[in-house]
Amino acid sequence: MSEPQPRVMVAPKRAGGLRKIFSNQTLFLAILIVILSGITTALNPAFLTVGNILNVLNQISVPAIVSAGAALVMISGNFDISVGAMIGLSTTTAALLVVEGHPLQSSILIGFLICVACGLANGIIISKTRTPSFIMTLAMLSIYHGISLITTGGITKSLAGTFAGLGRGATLGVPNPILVCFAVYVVLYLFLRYTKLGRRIFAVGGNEEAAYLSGVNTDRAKIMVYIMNGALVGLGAVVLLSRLGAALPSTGSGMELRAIAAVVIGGVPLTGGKGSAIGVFLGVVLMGLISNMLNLLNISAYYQEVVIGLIIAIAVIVSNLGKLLRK
Amino acid sequence: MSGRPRGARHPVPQKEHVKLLEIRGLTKTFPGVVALENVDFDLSAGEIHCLVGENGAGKSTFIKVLSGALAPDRGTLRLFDAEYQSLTPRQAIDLGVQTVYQESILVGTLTIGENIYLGHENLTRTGFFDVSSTMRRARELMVSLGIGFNPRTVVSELSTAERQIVGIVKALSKDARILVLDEPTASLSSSEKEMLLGLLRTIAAHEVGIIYISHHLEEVFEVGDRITVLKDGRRVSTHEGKTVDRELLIREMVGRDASLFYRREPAEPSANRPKNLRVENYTRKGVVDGITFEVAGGEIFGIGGMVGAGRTELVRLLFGLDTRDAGRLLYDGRDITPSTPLHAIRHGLCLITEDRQKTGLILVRSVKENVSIARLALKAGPFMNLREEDGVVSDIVRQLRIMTPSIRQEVVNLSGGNQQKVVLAKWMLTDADIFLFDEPTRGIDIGSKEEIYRLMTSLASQGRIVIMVSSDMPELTSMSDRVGIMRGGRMVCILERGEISEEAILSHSIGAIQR
Repeated sequence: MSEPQPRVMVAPKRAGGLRKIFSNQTLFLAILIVILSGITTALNPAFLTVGNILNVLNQISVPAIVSAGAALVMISGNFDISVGAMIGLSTTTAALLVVEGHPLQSSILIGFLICVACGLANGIIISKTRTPSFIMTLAMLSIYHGISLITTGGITKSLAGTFAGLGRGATLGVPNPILVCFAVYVVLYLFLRYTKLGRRIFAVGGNEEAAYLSGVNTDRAKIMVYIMNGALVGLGAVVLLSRLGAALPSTGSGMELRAIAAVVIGGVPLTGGKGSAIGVFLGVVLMGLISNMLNLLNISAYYQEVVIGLIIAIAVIVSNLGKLLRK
Repeated sequence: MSGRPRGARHPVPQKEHVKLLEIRGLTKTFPGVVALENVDFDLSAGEIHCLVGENGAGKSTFIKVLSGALAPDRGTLRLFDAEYQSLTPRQAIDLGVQTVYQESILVGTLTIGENIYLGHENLTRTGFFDVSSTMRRARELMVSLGIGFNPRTVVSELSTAERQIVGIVKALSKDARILVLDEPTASLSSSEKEMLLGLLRTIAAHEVGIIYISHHLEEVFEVGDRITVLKDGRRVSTHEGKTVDRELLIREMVGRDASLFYRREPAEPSANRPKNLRVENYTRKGVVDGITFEVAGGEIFGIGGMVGAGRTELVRLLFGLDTRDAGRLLYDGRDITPSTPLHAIRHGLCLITEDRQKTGLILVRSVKENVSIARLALKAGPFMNLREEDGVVSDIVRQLRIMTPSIRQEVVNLSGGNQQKVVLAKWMLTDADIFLFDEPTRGIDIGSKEEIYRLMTSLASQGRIVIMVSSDMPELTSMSDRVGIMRGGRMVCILERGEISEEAILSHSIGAIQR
């Protein structure tokens, strides 16, 4: 009954060119990573060796796992800045339990579950009280950090090398943290693409009211996001604890801001609604790469902080150029 | 010095006052709509000049041009003997044009005095905020207008009417010579209205010119020295307030070109027994009051009324979006009263909201995701079948002729009409039986409008229930089988098929006919 209708281009997009590169964050990041790698290799050939690349990936694995959680939270249009305190609380609790003579496995499991519980608490409070997540998780940060200070008295708790396999070991020559990290990103990719909940997280971040009006239980979606974030942070915390072999309440502090930076560089806007697993992973890789590059070039750690800040700022501005050009 | 209107179109007011404002040939177009066309208007000091017209007649655009929020395409504004092509908001305020909107913008935590002088504070010689002189001046200003408020009262303690008055005093504190009031009485009780109208007369006596916009003809007759009727962006006439015939005024507000009407094809009776929807005593305090009506399957039930009458609030309640204080929804005798949108969708309801960009669509996501979202809400299990989804979405996009290069295109890049069709596609895939439309064709081009009308007609002819809130008179009269009119949160009457006319809808909407 309906004759074939020509598909009219509504908003003609010019293909190719700068515009395309800037509008495609993933492509832009990939190009940037290749260029930076090229420069570093030219300055120090030690960069492009299997050993160093595994080293870089090993270094970024924990931040990458945490960033995967931050990506979920930010795609849904929220923030979680209590992540560092969650890591501190979970690692110190696990270490404390081991020191007190509890079985290793169950202590580690409890450490993991603490993060899940923190995520659940964050999610319920934010969705049910309709408070801004940024300030609410700031409050939770203080609570979680305070609890770990109380339980440890601020003293380092050591595992005395009883749990090093996950963080320091390797399987078939590849460090275990890298394997865990890859697994996380494969699952994240599949989750965002193939599950209803994944789709809904984008919808909630894109327009929460419209999503609610279309039958999405937005509160439940947000709570699920925070629970998943808690689980990923817990996984990151366990890997970190295993690698460090000891924990302090301040273990993991600052991790949340690095994760937010990596997620934004990876193409998730602060307003939410967009993003991809690959983009976020490349965002983390870029940050790890920069820090490795500065090490290889023998730049002092103090200057490194400044340089990393500058590069984050530039990357965010450049990734926003696509939007500016479109106007 | 040239204080007289050119061409002497209007009778010169009896009292010879200074001409404050002369507008000639004001024209403003938006893509696809002529909001104002060649409008002339003038205002003298001490005069209250009322502006009336239906929703969409161009009143808001007129105010926006005058307050500098919009630049006109053509026409001149002569203000206090200087001619302008357009104004900036700053300029308008500096010239003494003050606009008071429906909801006056006051800071609740500050006192009346502080609010009045917010932005142009009284300072002491050392540059600090001078509380005592602020309070003194605020009191003097209010006393001169016959208002006895204590300037030290905190605004959050005031009633809506009192806030409205403070808003007006604030406007006057900036040496207003022209005061524009947009629906200031919309949320006031009748005694409060009287107080406000009395205040307007006092202000006018201070040689201020007042432009007064209202849906309530009673007030307009009571307070207006002159009344100008706008319709579809054009000035129809200007009357002397005391002598005008109200029947004539209503006719002037509605009369319209027949070519604007969409001709709805007569629906062929459905084979199945039609199922009825009964809305019973829907109430939300202060918003919607005891709404009861029945709609038969296959029928398009229009809901008319002025902006703020509670129409949008009613359909939101029916969809379970806001909490109701009372009310039941019965479909075919079954209680389906929803308490959340998801619950509503499961019972076959859907709501096409009036602001599709804000509440209907997820603009940054694709056509596919927007079309599928409600359908997926009804499916069980955690996973999606992407291949099936592509097929279903492509089919409906083709069927509704949504113009998009791909179903992966972000909705933000589509035209208004196509965006609205995406919203419709979303609901058609839920197999909804009850369609609640809120302003279904607002901001949509003529072509898409017709397609949406055709779609609504076909939904009805399939025995579904269509409820349509509309401020578009031709739409309401030509599409509806019956029209319920809302005023002040109540459904004041239901017009049967033979009774539907623009005059009838408008008279009931503004309360010109008392039953």
